[in-house]
Amino acid sequence: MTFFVRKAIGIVPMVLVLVTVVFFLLRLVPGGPAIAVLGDRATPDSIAAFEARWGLDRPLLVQYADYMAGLARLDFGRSFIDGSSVRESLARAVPHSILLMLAATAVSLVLGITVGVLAALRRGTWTDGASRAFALFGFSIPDFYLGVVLILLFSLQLGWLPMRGAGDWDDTADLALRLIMPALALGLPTAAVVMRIARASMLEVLPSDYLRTARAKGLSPRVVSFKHALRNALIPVVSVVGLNMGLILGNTIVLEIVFSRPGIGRLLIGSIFNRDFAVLQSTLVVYAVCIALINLLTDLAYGVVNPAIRYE
Amino acid sequence: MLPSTNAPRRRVLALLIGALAIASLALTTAVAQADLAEEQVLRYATDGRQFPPLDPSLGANNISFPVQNMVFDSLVRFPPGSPRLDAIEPALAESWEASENGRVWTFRLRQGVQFHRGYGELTSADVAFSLERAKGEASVVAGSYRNIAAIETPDPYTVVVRLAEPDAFFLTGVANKYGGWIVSQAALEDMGQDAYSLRPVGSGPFMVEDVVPGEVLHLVRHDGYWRGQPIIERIEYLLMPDLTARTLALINGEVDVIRGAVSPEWSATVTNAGMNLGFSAPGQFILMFNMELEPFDDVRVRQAFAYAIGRDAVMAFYGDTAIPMYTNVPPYVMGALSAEELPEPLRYERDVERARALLAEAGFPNGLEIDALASENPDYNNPLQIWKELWADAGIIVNYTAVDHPTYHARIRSEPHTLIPYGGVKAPHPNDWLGDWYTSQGGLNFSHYGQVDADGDGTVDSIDEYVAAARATLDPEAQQAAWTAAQLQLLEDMPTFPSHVVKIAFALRPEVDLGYELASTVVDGVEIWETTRLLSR
Repeated sequence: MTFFVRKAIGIVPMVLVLVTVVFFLLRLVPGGPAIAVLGDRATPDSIAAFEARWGLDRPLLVQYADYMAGLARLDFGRSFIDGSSVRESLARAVPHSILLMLAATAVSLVLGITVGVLAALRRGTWTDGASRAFALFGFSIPDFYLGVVLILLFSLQLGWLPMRGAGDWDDTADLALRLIMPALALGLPTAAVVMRIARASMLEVLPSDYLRTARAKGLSPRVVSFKHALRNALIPVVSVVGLNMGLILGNTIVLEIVFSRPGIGRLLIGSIFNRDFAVLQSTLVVYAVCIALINLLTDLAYGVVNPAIRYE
Repeated sequence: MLPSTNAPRRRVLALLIGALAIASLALTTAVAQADLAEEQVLRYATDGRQFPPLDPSLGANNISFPVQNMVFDSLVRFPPGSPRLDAIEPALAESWEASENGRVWTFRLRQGVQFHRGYGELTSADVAFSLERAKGEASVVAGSYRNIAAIETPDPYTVVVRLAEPDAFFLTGVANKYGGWIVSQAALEDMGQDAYSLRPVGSGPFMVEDVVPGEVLHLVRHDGYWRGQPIIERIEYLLMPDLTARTLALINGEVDVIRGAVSPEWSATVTNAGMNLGFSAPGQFILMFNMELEPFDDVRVRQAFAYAIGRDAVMAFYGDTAIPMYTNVPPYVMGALSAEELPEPLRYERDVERARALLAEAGFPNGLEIDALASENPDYNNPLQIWKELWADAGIIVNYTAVDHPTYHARIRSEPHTLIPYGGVKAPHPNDWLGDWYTSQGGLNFSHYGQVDADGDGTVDSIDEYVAAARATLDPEAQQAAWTAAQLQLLEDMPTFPSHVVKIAFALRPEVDLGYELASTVVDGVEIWETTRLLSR
């Protein structure tokens, strides 16, 4: 427990360093928010007025101190573009991104483990061959392309699924329907990785002495495979899942654009193009904290699945 | 006298005719109603990632304009679907008059126009308030309103605007765009700037119900709209930055109107899918030469660059989505000279030999090489890539560095650069096109025309007098003479190469009946008015 508490506390200085680096880096990039907001009609007078309104004409250190003081109060500032509260925007966006990440991870795990275990149990058969082809397909196809293909098939051709938006939190069925395609698009590529790990791990475990003993005791193949072998075979899968979740979270950026879903990825892209400092800084912090928490939870899960692991 | 047996028959006949008339009227109405979709909810998807401030003095881009046009009214308006200055029609102002010298404009307001959400009647005080804000320091559109010297409101329905200089085109400033949109003073003071920018109050056919920043803006109809209750009940104005996603959503029926692309392939894709196309008042694309930097301080070099490229190659690339521009005033704007009206040398058709000869005369017999900055924005980058290859045929090597669009605009304003490709959309009269970019006080005059000796005769060359002359007179012939002189001089001096006009396409589902023909638009988007409706699929 001390290990995890220490790791959790360690996230704080990491975030502070990240915020500081991002804060100053952003202000070194040419093309500030005034141009992004005012566009082609930007004149020196209107730029000056914009910068005065948002305090961008103050010394950098003053702006930094002001921002950090706000951060301590959990005030992430306001968007330069539409004046909205960044905290409120994040409060709306983060749950959608987390939901998509969890759904895609579930797809990745269920599909990857199922196919991987089947491939291992039916090694050398057409099932094994098909599984490896599936893995190749998953590695090769970009998730945004897969997203568009799914839209063409399930929305335009078949008319089964809506293709944009995330739906309303009050309408669970609609929420779920709008989650299917983006979760598949995000989850399938990482399912390929899980499948390969699960297959290899299962193949390594199956010849073990303890399983020979279990078979000799008369246990059915199903019990041997899924109760005794799978548990040990899943240990390496757990660490891959943690990596995958981080990858999936990063990839939500593109899929949120393709499927016009709200989320922190969409906020991030918009804030980059618009030089919306407050939004950009805050979304980067959220991403960093999420990745750190995922890593922490992966370590925790690893220790649960493998009692041999003890953190000191 | 015998009793008339015809009287009862005539009564019956009259009754029958009356009944038939009523029945056919009812039937016609029923048929018309049956054409309408049951749900009058319009979904409009545009590009962009965040909503800009919707306050007309603070937000002025292609994302805000269509919404501002739905929410606000103006004193006059361009006819829906047309940017013609000579067809401007009454809106909040029932009538207006200009003094002979074009300095004093008097507007008589329509009575009983109501703001949204119970903020009362629109009066002259609101008009004065709006115009004062438009010319204020913080306004992004102040440049177009600096000429306003004073605004008087002798009574609640009369506005008198006094200009510092005569302006024959003042009406474009009070039409439906930029500072012409009238805000509610009471609402702004009540709500505060930030809240008002997110959820503004106007008197237009639709009002903002709520906004989810970065995602969607919901509008509902203004039942008390003075032109009549809009047919459309709700509008969802969606931000969908990915063109593919927008296009698929349109074809799938999840949205009804989308902002499209400048691409013949895209246009063909949507029309093949059964959608309708409309085009926005096009933007102009030019190439400015910085005459404060060598070698562009020499008119022969600038002309050489122009002759080396022409327009055919760019037109071949854009197909139907662009039209060539031969002068610095777009061809669809009144007062623009056509190619046929120009002497041959000033048409700058591609002539590589002439370009080489001019370079040799200017001291570059073996060609020259320069560095330039470019924007990654395809509208800027695509022509530049084409020109780079064409210049090479004339011995001109251009090494350009592409940066993202906001960086590009920041750098051209803070650093000197040799070549400055630039695009923009302006009001549909020549003075607006000539003002910012070519007059000595123009805020976007990156060529520095009007500030330097452009033709090497030792004197500063300028079109300021022509622009002022056109503004100072209401006589169309005198205006045309001034514009003609300005355009010819600019072509001779070649501070910029006028290349093409880009048409921005919009796609609409066949069920969308705008209530007018979308030939063009001043609001850089599809105008949704009270006549717009959705037909049943």
